[in-house]
Amino acid sequence: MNHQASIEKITGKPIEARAKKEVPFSFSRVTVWIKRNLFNTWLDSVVTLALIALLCLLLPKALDWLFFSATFSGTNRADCAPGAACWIPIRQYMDYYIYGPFPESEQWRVNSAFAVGLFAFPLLFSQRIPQKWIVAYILVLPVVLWLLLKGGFIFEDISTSALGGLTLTFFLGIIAMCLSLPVSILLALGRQSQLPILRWACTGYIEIIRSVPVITFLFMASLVLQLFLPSGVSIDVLFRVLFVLIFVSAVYKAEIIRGAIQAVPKGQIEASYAMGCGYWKTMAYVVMPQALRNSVPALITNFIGLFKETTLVMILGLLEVMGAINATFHNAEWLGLHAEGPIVISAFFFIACFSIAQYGAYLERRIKRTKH
Amino acid sequence: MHSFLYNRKVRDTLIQLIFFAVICFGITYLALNAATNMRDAGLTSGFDFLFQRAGYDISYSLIHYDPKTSTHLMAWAAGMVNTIAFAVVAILLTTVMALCLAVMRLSQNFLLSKVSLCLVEYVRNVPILVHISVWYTLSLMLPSVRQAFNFGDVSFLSNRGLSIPSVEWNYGLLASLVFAALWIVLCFFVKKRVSTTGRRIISVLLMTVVLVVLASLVFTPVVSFTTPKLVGFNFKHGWTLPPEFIMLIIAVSTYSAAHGSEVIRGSILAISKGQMEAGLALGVRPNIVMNKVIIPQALHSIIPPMTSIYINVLKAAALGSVVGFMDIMGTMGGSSLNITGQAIECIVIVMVSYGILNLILAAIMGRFNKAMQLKGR
Repeated sequence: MNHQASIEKITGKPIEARAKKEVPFSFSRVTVWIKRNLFNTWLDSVVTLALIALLCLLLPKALDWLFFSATFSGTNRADCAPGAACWIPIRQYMDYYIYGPFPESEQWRVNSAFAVGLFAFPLLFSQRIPQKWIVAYILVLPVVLWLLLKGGFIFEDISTSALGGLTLTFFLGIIAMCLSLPVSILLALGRQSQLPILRWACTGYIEIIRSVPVITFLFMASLVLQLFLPSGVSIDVLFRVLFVLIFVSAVYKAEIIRGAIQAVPKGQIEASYAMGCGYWKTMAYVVMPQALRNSVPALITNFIGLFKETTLVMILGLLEVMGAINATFHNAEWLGLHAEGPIVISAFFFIACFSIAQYGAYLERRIKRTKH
Repeated sequence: MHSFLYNRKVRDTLIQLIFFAVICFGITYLALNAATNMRDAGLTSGFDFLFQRAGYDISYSLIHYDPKTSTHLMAWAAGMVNTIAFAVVAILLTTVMALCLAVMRLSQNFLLSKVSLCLVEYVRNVPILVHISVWYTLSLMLPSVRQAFNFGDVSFLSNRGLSIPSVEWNYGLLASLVFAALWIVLCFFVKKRVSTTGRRIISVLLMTVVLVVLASLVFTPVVSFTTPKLVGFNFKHGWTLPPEFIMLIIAVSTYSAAHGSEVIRGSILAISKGQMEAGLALGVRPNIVMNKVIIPQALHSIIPPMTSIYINVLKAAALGSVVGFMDIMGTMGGSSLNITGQAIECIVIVMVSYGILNLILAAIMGRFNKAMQLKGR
């Protein structure tokens, strides 16, 4: 119960919520604010004036280039206004950026996959829903996404080369996130284990993977993995990339979860053992629920990192959203438009990652509140 | 039998044995496959290829590398030196920019703090690959050598890269040894001063400068600078850093600085407000309270997360292969691997090289962390 409710219980009368006083607008308050926040010292004043000058110089030009003089509608290069942005290719290829070469008749599957995947965010970290439902959702989500995007069972199978654009980014990001979570829990437990061989193996694995760039493993997956497979067996490049993303990002998650496990008071584990619970029961019912809940903000940060890292598959020729956008600007007709592609890619990633980060920050505040 | 299996010690040993066996089996299986595949491809394993002629060009190398005569080992060394040079410059730049961004963000000035907020949020929410490609595209727009940006006739920026004056050490072996001995002796004297003032880095720097100036005045100049000169279609003399190297450094260090500034800001904000207020109440000026009270306390919660940011900077050198900057991944893990086909050996070398660099960086930061730790009783 919170503080306010307990005071109400003791005193017997409700305390009125401290109303936010409506302060009437007054000119002097504004000047005080401006003086305090913009012109506090002479150095402050210089900085403020310089910044205002810079913004006045740059902002109108940038806005003009981006929107006011820019071309939004048209069909070919000749329609582009010179000296300003040309958004025609973006509009033309929007479908390609989202669905990639996915067959048009099956695009409802991509849409429903987006819906199922995005629904995970409010659901997974809700505190009202029992944790076993959340765990079940994490386990089922990759399967559902796989069925929807890749096919199988009742859905028509889609070739891996038909996955591209935002669909591929989403597919790699969410599936790698969900599947790396169990791996990372096992790694974290292994690193904390009492059994030396298990502990050394997990520690060694984590430290080796952490010290080598992801791109090395991606190149390995594309060039070297074939060498280790029996002749005749080959794995599709998409699955190799997915495999790398899962087993690399699991390492970083394992470190997050290990930290959260260590933060669980030792007395709880001892109490659980004293009650006669074994190792797995203690971990599953006492330690993990707390550790996972507390590592949620860090896991969200990790997910943002993973989401950004999916762009690296572009190097191996998989056209995820960045690759798809770049590809259209390498098209002979739109050659020479340098800035538009990166601007759209940055805008997309900024909106996606920034909103996830804000959600993570909100959850962190909520966790802190419930702790007190 | 039942109780035997339920014996804690027996069970632990059994589990570990099974785990060990599974891992051994997996590794053996993969190794056998690799052996068969390599035999079929007519390859022999081993590190002999390191001493064969490499035969490919490295666009930029700090050490002497000749594609006609140099071996794969030299290519590896060139990549390693490139990686280290990149990491050192990028880490320094990251630290400086992160500090600037954090200070801006914490500033009283509303406008300045919001500008920093926008920069940081934009940069850290966009993938590093996008940053690299943006800066690379910008580097393609640099002017030709004849229209190069001129920085006071000393440095030039053109599409060939940044030309800066080169520094040459003028002393011979004997003179250098005498110089070094003198420097070490003076360091001991400085140590005394340090014990009273505590300003170690500044004292050593000051002493070094004085020594260099004195030596230059009394004997010959210790170092000499050669400024780049435009000769024909290129800059002669001086050092030229290629555009891809500079742009990669800028992209990686801005990206890491945005992350680093959040670390620094968080740590400074975590220091209780009372510390600042107590300092101010004692009549100490705000910037001195910041330097002597807040920062030293914040530093030891900054260093561990900063270490992992630095390690990420080091690893980002591998992304240079996207823009044609050759680090170990580009030389040993890229060209050498493709030419020789010795995939396993090359990848192992790359991984070990990165591992060693990481360990060195972590060790340096560990020393630093220990030195900065608050000494409790």
